[in-house]
Amino acid sequence: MLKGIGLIFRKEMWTALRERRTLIFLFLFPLLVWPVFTVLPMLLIGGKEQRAQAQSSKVALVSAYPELEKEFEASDKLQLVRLEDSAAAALQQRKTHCVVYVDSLASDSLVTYARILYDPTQTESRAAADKVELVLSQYERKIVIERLAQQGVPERMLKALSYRRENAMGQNQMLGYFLGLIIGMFVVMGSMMGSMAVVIDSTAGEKERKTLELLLTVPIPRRAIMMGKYLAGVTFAFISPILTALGMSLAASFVVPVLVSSGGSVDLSGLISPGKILIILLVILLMAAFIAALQMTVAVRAHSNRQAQTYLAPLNIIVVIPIIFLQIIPALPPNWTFFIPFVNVMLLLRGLLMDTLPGSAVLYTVASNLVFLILALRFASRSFGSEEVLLN
Amino acid sequence: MIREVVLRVEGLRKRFGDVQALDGIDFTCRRGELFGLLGPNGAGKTTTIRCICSIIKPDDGSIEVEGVSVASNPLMALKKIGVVLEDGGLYERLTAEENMKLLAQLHGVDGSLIDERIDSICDTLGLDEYRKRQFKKLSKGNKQKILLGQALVIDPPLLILDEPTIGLDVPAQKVIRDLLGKIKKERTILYSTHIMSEAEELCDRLAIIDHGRIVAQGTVAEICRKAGARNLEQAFLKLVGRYA
Repeated sequence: MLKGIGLIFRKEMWTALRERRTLIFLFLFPLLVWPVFTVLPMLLIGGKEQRAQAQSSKVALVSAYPELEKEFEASDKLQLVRLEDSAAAALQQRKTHCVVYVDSLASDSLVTYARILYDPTQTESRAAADKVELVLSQYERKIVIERLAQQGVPERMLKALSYRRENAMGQNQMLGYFLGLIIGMFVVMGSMMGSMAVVIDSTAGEKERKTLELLLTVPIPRRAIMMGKYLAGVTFAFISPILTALGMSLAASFVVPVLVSSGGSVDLSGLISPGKILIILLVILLMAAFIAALQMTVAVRAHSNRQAQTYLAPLNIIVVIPIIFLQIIPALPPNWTFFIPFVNVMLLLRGLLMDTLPGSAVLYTVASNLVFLILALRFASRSFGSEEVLLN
Repeated sequence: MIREVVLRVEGLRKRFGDVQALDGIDFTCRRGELFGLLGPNGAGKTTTIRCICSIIKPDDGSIEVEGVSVASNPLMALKKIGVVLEDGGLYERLTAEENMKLLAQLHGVDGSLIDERIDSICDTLGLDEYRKRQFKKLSKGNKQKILLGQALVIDPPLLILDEPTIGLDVPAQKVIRDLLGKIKKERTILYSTHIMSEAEELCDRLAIIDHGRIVAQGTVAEICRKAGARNLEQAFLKLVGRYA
């Protein structure tokens, strides 16, 4: 039995590794495509935001107040430009990043009304509007102080309450939060993608090429044939997320400084310890075993590669759905969330990286994955034992 | 001299839903005999072969290979069978040699014998030039030879060939037929076909199967006599009730 499993496993690995598609899903996607396509937009957006804040913004001021104009000119973050066209056209053609209209002051009114016209779809325009708001609020404060002084009221009367916002999470926890979100999601997807081609090829693909029937004539128990194929699927489902986590961690070391600090260096090594690595590997292994069994149960029912892909597509979508909810689940989630497959792996990864994970969560995750794995394997085994399924 | 029975099939029945695919099939193949299973499409030839190879379980009946029951000891029985399935394939990304080696290993052939057997088979089948090529890069004729090779590499007492020449061009069919002519002296072969000339040329005895039943069996001469026909084709058409 064991020899049979070994031979089938070796055959599956050997044929899979000779397939370009498998290599692309196993190595190219986790190590290059996903990290690059995740990091690149983040770096581009982050860099653009930073540049827009640092550079001076072009502002057209439509005002009859020379004093206000002087305030704008004094700001090193603003560059006044003349509005030669309509405001909308000037914004569209990027001749100015925003247009400020200041209405004339009614003789009996103490309030001046200003409108900041900007394009919220443009990073530079949003940054310019922020800068204009700052200059206007400073100018307003200056006027108010002057008016209060005329009434004999001291400036300190303006301040009755001082407050500020403070981040209760340490920098490492913030890093863990971002990494947990990104890596958790890609680990689950990596596992699905990594094993899919191999599982499909070794089940529906073999049916399509008529090699499965020949394999059923060899003097090896069917369970051994299934286990050999299944173990090959598990191997790919396990290796792929690990490579994904590696690729994403490398990518994160570039992108996290942009997201959480303002370009300073970030030490990712503080987030992880050998104990955490062992837990992560165990949980990924269980998830990989569950995914491979699930894919096998579905794929063996198809009679061609294409049909198996169609059958498995909804499974990929089901896995993606929890990712959407992951962002609203708190850092310390309720216990029942650790019983939901895939979600528990993502939460566990995030919790481990944030150092907020209760010990019971590991137990619940392992137990739940084991139960789901056993169920999926029973289904796979039943499918593999059915003449109708194998010869359809 | 009556030769020893290698394959014994008795009362084989198999139903798929409303279709009675096999309805009491009985025949025996003796050592050194090339036994033909002749029938129109859908007659039950492939289902019979699938039952013998333990791919599917019959509803009733028994199959023995060299006295080993396929029902009670399928793995032991399968060790005695080499198979070329209808329209069958092999692993496309493995070379011809790797495919033969894999099948030999899966059949538990002693590692020290495998290379020697592959050399001999490649020599017999004229495959030396192609043995290192990936299966997918071979012509249909050469693929069929490799399929035959993988069945021979386990050196089985019983060789089962299900429509091995189907889809091949005339020269390739001739090559396969010549090869069978060579190897039939050394082993028992169950040969399924619907090509009359092939059956007439190759088979020592044959059974005509139709609607899951054997309608006649014996040598070509015996069948023609029974049907009152001049040749096998005429006998076949009369026996399956499609003779105008």
